[in-house]
Amino acid sequence: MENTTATVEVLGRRIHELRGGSGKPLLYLHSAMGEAIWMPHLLALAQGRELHAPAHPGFLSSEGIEQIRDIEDVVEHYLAYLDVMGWSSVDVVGLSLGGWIAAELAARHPERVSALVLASAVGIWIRERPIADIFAIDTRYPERVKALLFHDVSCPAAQMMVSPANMELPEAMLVNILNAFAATARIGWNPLLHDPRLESLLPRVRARTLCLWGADDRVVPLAYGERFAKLVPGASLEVIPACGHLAPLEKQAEWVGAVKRFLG
Amino acid sequence: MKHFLFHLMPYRELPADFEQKHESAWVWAPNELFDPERGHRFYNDYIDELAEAEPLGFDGVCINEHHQNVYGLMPSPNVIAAMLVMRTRRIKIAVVGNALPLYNPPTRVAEEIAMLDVISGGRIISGQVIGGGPEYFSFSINPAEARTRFAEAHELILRAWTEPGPFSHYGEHFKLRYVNVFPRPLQKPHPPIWIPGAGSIETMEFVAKRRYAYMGIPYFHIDFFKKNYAMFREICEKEGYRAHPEQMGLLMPIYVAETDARAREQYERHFWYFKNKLIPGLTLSPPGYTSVKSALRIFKSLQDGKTFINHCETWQDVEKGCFAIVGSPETVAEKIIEHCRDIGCGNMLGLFQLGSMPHEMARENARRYAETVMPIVNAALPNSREPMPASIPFPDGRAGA
Repeated sequence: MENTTATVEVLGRRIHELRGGSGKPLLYLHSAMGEAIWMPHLLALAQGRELHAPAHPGFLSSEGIEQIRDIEDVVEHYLAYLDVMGWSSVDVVGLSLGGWIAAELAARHPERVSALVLASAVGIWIRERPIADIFAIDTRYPERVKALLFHDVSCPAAQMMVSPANMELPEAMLVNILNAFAATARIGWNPLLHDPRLESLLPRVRARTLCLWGADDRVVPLAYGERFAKLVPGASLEVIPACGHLAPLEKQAEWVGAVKRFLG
Repeated sequence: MKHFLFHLMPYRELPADFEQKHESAWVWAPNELFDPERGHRFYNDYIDELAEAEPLGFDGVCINEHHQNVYGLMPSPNVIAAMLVMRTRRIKIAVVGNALPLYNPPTRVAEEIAMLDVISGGRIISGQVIGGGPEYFSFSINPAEARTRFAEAHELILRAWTEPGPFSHYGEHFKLRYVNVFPRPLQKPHPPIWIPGAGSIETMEFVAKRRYAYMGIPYFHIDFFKKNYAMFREICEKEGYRAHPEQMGLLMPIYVAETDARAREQYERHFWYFKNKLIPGLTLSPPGYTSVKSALRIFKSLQDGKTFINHCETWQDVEKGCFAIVGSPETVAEKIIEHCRDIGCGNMLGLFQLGSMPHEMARENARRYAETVMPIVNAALPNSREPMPASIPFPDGRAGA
């Protein structure tokens, strides 16, 4: 299948998604950036697999955010999505916010997820190492945003990053950024990007699981990768050296390589 | 013209290097900075300043609610209102307002305002606000729910005041088996409602439909206010009535001295304390707090170099945008008359203490305003003899009916 976009109807919501590649279906759940767009790591994942990257409600043109009250509603949304796609179970890769959704899905509905990649995932809370409050970053200072998201702020991906406070951007792009922030806040404003119940549910996961982390993640420290790997039965942890939170952007080749090796 | 003395109760003795060390006066300004000994003095000074509004001849006082910040020390305006109820006999006490989404259940507001109204003999004005962006950080309420929580809480409070109880309320945000607020307010059908807004059409329509009073959120360029109030009057026309002057209030920092030069000389440093130390962080707009359309408009006005007080660098900027009305009695009266006439508003809400201004100076300012400015303004802009339009809390029918 050529790399394209499609619209899926889920619980009456029109959902935008990327579709590409052929092979066994692979579901990619995006981060708060709303990267259901053909970025290099997604193009790479679509080689050898039939990749589906839907935009969560509230992101890009996906509808239905007003019906989302918390992470449980998002999980229900994806359960319905799996039904629409006719998948009794599927491999899931989730980045950051998407990793949280993937972990909830695999823990609450273990039979629906066969392989699971939790990449720089939020979703749990370690009191001594709190998740950075991404909602409190002053976006007027793009260098601060970059310092939080990347290990090396001079890497090409960091250089390309745009600030939502930049009014010079095309309005459609600003609207997408504001919507992405608002939708993320709706799901994860408080408790900050985690579900206090998730830890106790993680032992239910039956999927083969890889926790994939940047060694220098300043948003969700590596301690979270270690905690996920400890709580999910049989999970392994792979750490990408000299890499920050947005690992598939900062260390694309290593990140894609690790995911593909794991998925086989 | 009706004159109100508005107080923010700022923390007025911050270290000189506060703004170098802290980017925000809100949410993250560490509470180690609060010195309770100073706090004791500030609160008592401020309560005295408010209570003195009555003998000076003001029509009322205004207080408001802000949390976890150095800008205003009133996390609970109803506590301050309770003291003012006992210190005054005549004037209105406007709580502008209670930030409804921060109360759970919001019937707490219905109860407290009803208590104050009954005890004061019906002198309470109930301001109802969504709460500032920083409050959504400080209270951990989801900003995406700000508007719907406000609307639901507002309706619930109005029903609690006006409908026989007990009744049940099962809304999106609040689930209450028995609503039966005891006491009910003294004013019938309920205390007057004031709603502040920063120019969103949705808020103006909400206020206009219900015949409440609209109060522009301060610290904007005067042209921005004039445009907004013109829009509000237009929306009232569309609703089929002429906006009553007392449906509109203009909130301004005011300072009066013998001459223009003396006024500026005495006042300016307190203004800069306010702008440089207390304002940063006020405009925090967490994701989902406003519609995307409004968020873009707010971003633009914060970056356009003129619309908001954050852009004031020189005294000329302050004067040009009328970010404060400062001068001799004649100058101050003239500006108030000009702007209130343009806007058509019948409530002048003055901040007479601002920033670091000490107690005696704030008292003297309010006294000079009352003795020298009020008479000129009142002669030029007499109170409207028309009665205020009766409020219509549920223009689209009651949810529970």
